Amino acid sequence: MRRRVRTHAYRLNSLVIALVGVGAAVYALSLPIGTLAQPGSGLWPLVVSVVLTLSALALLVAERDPDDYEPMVVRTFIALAGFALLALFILGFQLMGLTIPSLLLVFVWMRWLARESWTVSSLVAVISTIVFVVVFVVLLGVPMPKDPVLSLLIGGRF
Amino acid sequence: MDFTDVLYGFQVALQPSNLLFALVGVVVGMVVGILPGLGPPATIALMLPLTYVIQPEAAIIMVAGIYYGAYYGGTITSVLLRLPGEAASVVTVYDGHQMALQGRAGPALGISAIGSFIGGVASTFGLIFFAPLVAQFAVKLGPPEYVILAIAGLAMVSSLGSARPLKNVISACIGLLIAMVGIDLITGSSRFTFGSFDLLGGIDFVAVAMGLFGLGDILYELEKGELGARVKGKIGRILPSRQDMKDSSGAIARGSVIGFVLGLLPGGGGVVSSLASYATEKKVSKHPEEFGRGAIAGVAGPETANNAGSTSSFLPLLSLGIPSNVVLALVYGALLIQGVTPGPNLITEQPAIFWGVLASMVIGNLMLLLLSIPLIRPFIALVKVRLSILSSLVVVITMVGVYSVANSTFDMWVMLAFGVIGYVMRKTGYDPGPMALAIVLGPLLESSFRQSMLMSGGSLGVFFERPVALVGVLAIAAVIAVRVFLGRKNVFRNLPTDS
Repeated sequence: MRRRVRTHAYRLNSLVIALVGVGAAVYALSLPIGTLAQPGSGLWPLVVSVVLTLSALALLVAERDPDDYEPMVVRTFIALAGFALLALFILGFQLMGLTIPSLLLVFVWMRWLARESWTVSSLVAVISTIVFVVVFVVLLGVPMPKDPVLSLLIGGRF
Repeated sequence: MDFTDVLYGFQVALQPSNLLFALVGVVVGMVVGILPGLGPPATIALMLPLTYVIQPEAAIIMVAGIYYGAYYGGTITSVLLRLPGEAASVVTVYDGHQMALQGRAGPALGISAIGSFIGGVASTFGLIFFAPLVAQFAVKLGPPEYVILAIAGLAMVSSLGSARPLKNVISACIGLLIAMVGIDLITGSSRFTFGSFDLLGGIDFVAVAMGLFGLGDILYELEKGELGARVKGKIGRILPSRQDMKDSSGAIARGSVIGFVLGLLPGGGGVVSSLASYATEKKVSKHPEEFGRGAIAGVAGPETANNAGSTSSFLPLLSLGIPSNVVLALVYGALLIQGVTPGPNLITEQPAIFWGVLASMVIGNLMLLLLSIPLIRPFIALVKVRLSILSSLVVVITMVGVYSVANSTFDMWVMLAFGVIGYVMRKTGYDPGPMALAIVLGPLLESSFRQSMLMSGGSLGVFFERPVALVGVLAIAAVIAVRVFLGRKNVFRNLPTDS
């Protein structure tokens, strides 16, 4: 039974997409639909949602080969950890600008996701952060959120 | 077409800053094409924020350079490592890698560069001649024709994409829904914003593209954990011999024509052109048994067609405003960032972009030829760069890059979300290409559809009564019929097995 459930688990994707289609169609119906001669803002979303739902249902019925679906493997957690790190980077960037988040992101990424040595990870993190600051802040003048490190080193507007 | 327009184009393209951006584009394209994990769409997506701070013509000249540079970079890895950087280089693997194993990697890469140059330049001259004629014709097209053209583009991309057609249709539909987020431009009401102020302006295409193609690709490749690769066999002399040139000349001539014609079709470009050229060369060859065993015509033809097709695929974008494939959708995005809407009026309203970009293609292809021969050996060293080092740097660059377009941290979150979507799509056998193309074509498709309905009093017959629209409908039907009856496997049946 468990094996059978696992064999058909890939069909979940079509079901989820069909549900997204139905959700979008319900939302479109809450907008003015109008008529074909006088289309409202909901008509086009409704048409697209219906096509999406029907395509997902057709896929649910027609797809018999799970080869398209790559299984979750141990290394999948590396990708998931990468996304989590990027979310932390954005939060850090909003709070303390570029320097500290980029230094930490590059270091953690290299040391634990890519399994580089401590030396290589530290060197690349420091050098790349300096390059990022020079390129984005000094040369391109991108206005960054308040950055305590740059405030300390350069002062003024940082 | 007036000859002075062409001269004006060269005047624009030969300005030092534009020459510099063409050079930057070609080199960046080649480098990234060689590096593991990033294809042309990812590279262009990652460079989009940079296009924001330069002149529109320079931006498109650079992006065009990346486009054909990345294809050539993909050729290098196809020949040396049997790793096609992108789909258009897949057929090059068959004979190119066999040549490399026989110690003839140099001539394989040399003939690819020469073929790419000839195909690219021939196709550019075709564009210079035909694009103004198409633009003149396109001015007369109305909303129903644009609906059909946009649907044709989506249908072809869905039909020819790397995933199953049904999955491509789903990908395109989700893209169309994403394109609706924000204010409805006709009625002024908000849609799919769920009370979010940030979503009122719509979802930024740059953030979407960088997430789908940049982050999604990087994390997917990181999961695979492939390290730098090792080149087997000798490179040999790079310039092809006189006999090599003789054996390749017919393939290069045919590849130029095949590439130019197939590149014009919606959904066309390098991939279909290279496949068609390989099949043709095998068919016309007196020694078809040599194909798959290192036949130089099997490298020269597809590589020429690939570059000719990539170049001519600019025609629908520059003259109709319809991007015919994913890379062109990104070019469309780059133009929109600049406040330029591609279409039939581009030639009169923005002649510097129209003629400058066309002329720069001749110069860019010359740069590609001149750089590729002396720089092949240093570029090969790049193959050894570890993805781990590259990815950590690229993610910071993409994050800060997308922030810099509008100084918006919301766009960073959008990019991250689409990075997750892109990653999941790859894991589940979906192609993000149709989604990106649909996001770009969505507003045009919806506004043209609604205008068509208003014009016709709600009659769907408007799409069948007008001659151009009817031809478009028949063309879409023919493509779908061919796809259904022949199946995609048959396209590959003439090709040798990759052994």
